This record gives sequence, structure tokens and C-alpha cells, in this order.
Amino acid sequence: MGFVVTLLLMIVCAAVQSTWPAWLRVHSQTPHLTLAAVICLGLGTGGASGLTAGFLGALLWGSISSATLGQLFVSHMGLGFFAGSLRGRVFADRVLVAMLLVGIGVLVASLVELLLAPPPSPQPWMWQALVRALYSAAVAAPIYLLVRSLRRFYPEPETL
Amino acid sequence: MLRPTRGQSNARSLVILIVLAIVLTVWQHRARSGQGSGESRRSFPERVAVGLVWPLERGLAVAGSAARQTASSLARAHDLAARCARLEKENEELRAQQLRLIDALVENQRLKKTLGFSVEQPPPAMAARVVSINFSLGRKRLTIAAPPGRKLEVGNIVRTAAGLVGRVAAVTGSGQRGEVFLLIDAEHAVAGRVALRSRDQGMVNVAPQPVNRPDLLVMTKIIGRSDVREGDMILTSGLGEVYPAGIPIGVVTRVERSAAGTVDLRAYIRPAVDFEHLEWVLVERHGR
Repeated sequence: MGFVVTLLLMIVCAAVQSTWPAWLRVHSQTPHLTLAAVICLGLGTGGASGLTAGFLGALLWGSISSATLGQLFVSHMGLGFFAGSLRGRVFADRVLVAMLLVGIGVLVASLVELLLAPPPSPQPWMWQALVRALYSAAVAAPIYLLVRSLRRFYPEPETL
Repeated sequence: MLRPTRGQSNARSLVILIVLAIVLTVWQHRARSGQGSGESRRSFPERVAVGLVWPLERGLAVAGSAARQTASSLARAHDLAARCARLEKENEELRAQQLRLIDALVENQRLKKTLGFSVEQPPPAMAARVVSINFSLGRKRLTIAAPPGRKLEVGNIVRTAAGLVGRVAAVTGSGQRGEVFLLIDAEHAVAGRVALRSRDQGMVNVAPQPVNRPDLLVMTKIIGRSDVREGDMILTSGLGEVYPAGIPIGVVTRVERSAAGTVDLRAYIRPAVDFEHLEWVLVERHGR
């Protein structure tokens, strides 16, 4: 059941991210909803779910945006798993922690993209990554609250 | 037989996902380095993923577009309401002004009667239907039909509520049909004057212009201080007795002065009447 919920959430996030309205963009940047959902799922439901969400999110977003899958798998699966490993720690259940993690996660993913699949003009990278990270952190709050309400579909996590 | 613990199961899932990720990455790389373009450069798993997202993506795009259109319509509706309120207020002011003018007219007629002046009634107007339009390069004529029981006469003034259209140049069928010599005909000229401000006078005829441009009039041979400006309303002056004074001809849109001074001045006028969409006109007898 958890897998189906994760798949549906990832499909919704990828679709919303790709059709994000132009008037809601900040400095032409859209929030990285797929990655935000991966981190929130990891934080809310555990490492295994975070890893699965990372795999599905990377595959869906990479396919519709024609991005290189390799770097997306590395960043999404890694961040999903890392977020999942924080579950149960102090403050990990707070929305602010999810927002902070998403912000840092987007910056890390941008860095991975810069290293593994550098864009044709990397000059505005830093500014774009910063805007995107802040914007993603802002939209992470409702995603994390949604994930918390979906927790009952996931089994209690154990260490891998 | 021992069943694997959840930890072992998760570790197996981790390995499977990592292997899958590697396989998919290699698959994508092979698809991209192959021949072809667009969809054929996507690997099969990528196409499946796109197919999964596409219906929702399409629905969201349509919903977003509909929401944007609705918001735009609402914003326009608000603007229209404000415009409507402004026009209603303007209409009320004009009605009040009209009442004051009627009072002034009645008082004027009463004073004329008291002083022994003959009170002239304006000639009765009739509404005539435009039956044909004959626009060639320079020649611009209309054919109008008189209402039943009324007759057209050569020299009748043809106008609309907006302004001067022209005059009846020829009648046929015992006055049932009339050919109207339009203001924008190349051979037409009318004496005009600037309304209210300078009251300078001149001759108004059609402006020479390239084909496919809207008809423009030009006022030349201006008598007076030559004080004509953009936005001035030009009326018939009544000189020459072809047209009565005071019928709107159009509004000045551009003024050209000669480099030597202000003597040679040309004022371009946009006609008050839309000659291309005439359906009904008013025909008046010029009280000669």
C-alpha cells in the first residue's frame, strides 16, 4: 500500500512541478516538488520509503524533464535515504526541520547536478540554486503535513 | 525455513533499487546515443514514466489555463462595471445639459416672439435607408430610399446623429431613390470652421492618400489666425449655402504647417461619420 501511495504522490508532484504556473515562479524558478516530497517521505516514513520515493521521483521527473537519470538517482535516493535515517531523532518530527532539510537537499541536488551533469552555462547556477532551495523549502511545509497524514499506509520502519 | 527479517528485506530492496537505477541510467544513455530524435531518444522506462504522468499533467495544464481565463474575465468584468458607472454618470450630466438647452431654446423662441422676430422651425427630417454603397477609388456615393409617402429632392442634406454624410445629388423614381454625394468623394468640398475656439474657416475635402487607408479629410485655405490644433472639432460653416452651419464634419487628428511659417496650413480630419457602416441616415431639407 505504501508503494502505491508513494507512486501516486510522486506522480502528482512531478505533474504539478512540470505545469507550475508562470505567475507563481520566483525569478523564473519553480520549487523542486519531487525532491521535497522525497525528503518529506523519508523524514516521515523511514529510510526504505525514502529510498523508494527517491527512485520513483528521480525516474518520473527525469523522464518528463529529459534530465540525466544518473545524477537524479544519486541525489534523490541518497537524500531520501538520509532523511529517512533521521526519523525518530530529536526535532525530526517538526515541520521546520522538514523545510530546512528540503532547502539543504535542493542545494545538494543542484551541486550533484553541477558535478555529474553540468548545464551548458553554469554561471547563474548559484543564484538559481539558492532561489530554488528557498522556494522548495517554503512549499515543503504542506507536503510534510500531507505525508504525516499518510503515515498510516506505511509500515513502522526498521534499520536496514 | 527461516523467514527474512524486515531489515534483511529492506537491504534487499536497497540493492534491487540501486541495480535498477544503474540499469535505467545505462538504458537512457544507450537510447540517447542512438539514432533518431524526440520520443525515439527516450528509453522504454522513460516513455512509461511519461505516460503515467501525462494525463494528470494535461489535466493540470487545462485547469490552469481555465483558471487564468476566469481570473482575467473577472478582472475585466470589474473594469467594465467601473466604466459602466462612469458612463451612467456622464449620461446623467448630458441629460441635465439637454434639459438646460431645451429651456434656453424655449426662452429664445419666446424672446424672439416678444421682439417680433419670425421664429424659424427647423426643416423636418426623415430617416432614409441606405440601399447601396458605391465606393471606387475616388468616387464615393450612396443610394438611399425615401420612406413611404416622402420624397427626396436634389440638394437635401444627408447626415447622421454623428455628423455630415453629404447631399443628395440626383433623384430617381419620382424622388423615391436618391444618390448621395458623400463628404469623402474626391470631388466633394465643403466650407468648414473650427468649432468654439478659434472659429477659423477653410475648405474641407478628401485628403490624397495611399490605397487601403481609412478616409481622411483635409482642411486647407484656412482663413483667420490659422489657429487649428489636434482635437479641434470642425463644423460646416454655412458659407456657400450648400450646407447649413453647425453640422459636425470631423475631428482634427494632425496639423501640418509649411516650413516658412503658418500661412500654408493643412489640418487632417477624421470624419465624424463611419462611412463604411451606414445603414440609416437622416435627410433634411436645406431651408433656402
